[in-house]
Amino acid sequence: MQDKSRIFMLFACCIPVLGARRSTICDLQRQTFRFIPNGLHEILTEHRGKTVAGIEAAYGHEYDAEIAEYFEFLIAHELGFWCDDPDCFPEIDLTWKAPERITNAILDVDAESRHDFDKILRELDDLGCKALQIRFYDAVGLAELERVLELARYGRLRSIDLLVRYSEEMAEVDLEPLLRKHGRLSSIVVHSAPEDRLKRLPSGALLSYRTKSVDSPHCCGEVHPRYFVTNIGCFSEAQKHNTCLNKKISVDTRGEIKNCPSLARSFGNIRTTSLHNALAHRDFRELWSINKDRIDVCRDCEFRYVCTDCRAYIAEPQNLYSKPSKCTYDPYTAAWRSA
Amino acid sequence: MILVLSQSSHELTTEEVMDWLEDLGLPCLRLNGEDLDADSSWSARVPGGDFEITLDGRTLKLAAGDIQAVWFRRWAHGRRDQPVELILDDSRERQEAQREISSHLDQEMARLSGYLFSQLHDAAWLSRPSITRLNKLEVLEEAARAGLEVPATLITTRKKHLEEFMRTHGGIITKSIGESRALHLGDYFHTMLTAEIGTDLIAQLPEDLFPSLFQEKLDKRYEIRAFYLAGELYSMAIFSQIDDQTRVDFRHYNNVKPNRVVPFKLPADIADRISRLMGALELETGSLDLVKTTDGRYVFLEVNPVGQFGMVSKPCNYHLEQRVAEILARKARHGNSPQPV
Ligand code: SF4
Repeated sequence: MQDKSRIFMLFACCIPVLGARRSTICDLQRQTFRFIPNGLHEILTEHRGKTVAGIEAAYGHEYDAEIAEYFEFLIAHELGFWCDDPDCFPEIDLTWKAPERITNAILDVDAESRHDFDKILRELDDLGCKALQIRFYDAVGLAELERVLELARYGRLRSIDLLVRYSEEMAEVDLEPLLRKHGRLSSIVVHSAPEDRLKRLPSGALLSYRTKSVDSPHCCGEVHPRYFVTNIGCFSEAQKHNTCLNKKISVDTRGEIKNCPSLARSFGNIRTTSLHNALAHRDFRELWSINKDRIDVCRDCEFRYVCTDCRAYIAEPQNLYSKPSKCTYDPYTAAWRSA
Repeated sequence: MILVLSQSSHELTTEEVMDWLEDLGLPCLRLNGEDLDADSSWSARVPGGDFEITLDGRTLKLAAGDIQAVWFRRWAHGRRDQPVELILDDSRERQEAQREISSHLDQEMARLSGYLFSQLHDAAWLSRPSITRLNKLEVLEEAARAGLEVPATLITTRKKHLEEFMRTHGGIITKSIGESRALHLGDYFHTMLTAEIGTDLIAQLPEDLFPSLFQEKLDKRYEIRAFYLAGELYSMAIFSQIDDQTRVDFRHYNNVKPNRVVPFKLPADIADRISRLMGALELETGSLDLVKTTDGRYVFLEVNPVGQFGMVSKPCNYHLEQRVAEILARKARHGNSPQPV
């Protein structure tokens, strides 16, 4: 028997998100989400802070049994609690902030690239950049990797992810010492490898071999639940920003400075200008604020604050606000189209 | 210039506050405790000389006059452990001598840090290190004076008194009177946390005890961790009661299903009493532990003057790293006088 004068509260880190057909509760602490029916979403949002009796009455006592069941489900999954002092439990403030001018960067390299890594890394460091992905589409020597990593040794970067093409020199015995030596190196993914293999080092760093070939930026932009990130950082950033492009800067294989290497627009070449100059261009930040609430279809999707976005590969290339073309999810039917 | 005193190179909170300081346009310099003894070289001339330190291949002058504010984040030494050659055959004697020497070297480093801090006396500090060690018992006295409820506490050497205390309160717990320590024995780390003790255990005790602290065991609805920062209070509720593993001390973490932690707003009268307590203890920062009992009382447990604010800031999205930077900026500009940011 439930005491009808009680008030149920979601833990503030469990946030309901309404979709067209169903909703989610995004658990930002345990980094998962659960599906809930839209009726329960309504109870949790519009009737927040009411007693069980109050909620039952609001629905004319038509759904008393369902309501009891809902609360049992939420308690059993530790998504909320019976609360005697609701005034003490505010909602979580979803303001997103970052002191860095740039938080993350992509640097693309192929056999023809003539990058001045020293200059690029220095400029990124000056902008406060914390995460860098370097993608080598063509074979690269171990000595070259070592040289680039050495340049990044004393900067403010916190993580470096490398994507490299498989070659004899990219064997486990060669790459593991590299991961051990450079603490900021959080992963090396070797594409075009003879077999799929994955190894996690005790430090948490990842060494992964994949048979799939990644020979151009076109391989990016995929939308899939395995790329969803359910934590406070991404969820709060997604409230007002584009989760892929916000505070990102990229240099493509030819040295063109862009929001993302897959986008056409260049803000100058790194050989003749600086990252700072490109960033100062008034259009550079335009895409940063296109969040899912402004994108067709996505705005009705229950995954919109945990999903990655892509503004390079979109359903209607003429419409900047159209849905990512590599997404196969339809929030109106709540189904993934099988590829 | 703002001086940041910290430890080891990968300390996320330190780095984040420094990023915010840079965003505010304030130059800062970071000095890790280990820098004084591990991989760097440095010298200072007494009296009045500057510290000259070589870090990552760069030589810096640390002149007290250039430093307007100091953030005392934490400080620890990773002492150069050069083995000392001893002419002793008995291995037990040698071990003892090593221990003595080691504690002597620790003291040398402590004196040295003390000198560095006193040279920076005129700067505005965010928490002066002289007050980072508090006496838990004195704090309980002050808390009670500030109007906060504290748990019934007994310190005794008499088993008889312990038994009486147990009868009065039902459940009791014990914890250290001073700082808890980690003991490294063989392959294991033993940490001293709060532990519940039962009648079985008491029955096995001798009549005469080493002076030990006992407290009534509180029936918790949830625990509260509050970070006090220059007059502002940022609180978080910790639901440790859903889980048996963390019921007595939430530091017995459950890594699979972490305790629920959520933003919390203390009632105004409790918040006022906390401010009064912090004023009485002359603390500008501190991490406070309280309990909300099942019968609705707020009970104060203890305060840690340095305290990890990251564990409150991150899950509650309070952005305290930015707030700390703003307060340091204010101090660098105006000294210690309390001015609104
Ligand atoms: S519809 Fe939009 S928000 Fe939903 S899964 Fe696809 S890309 Fe993500």
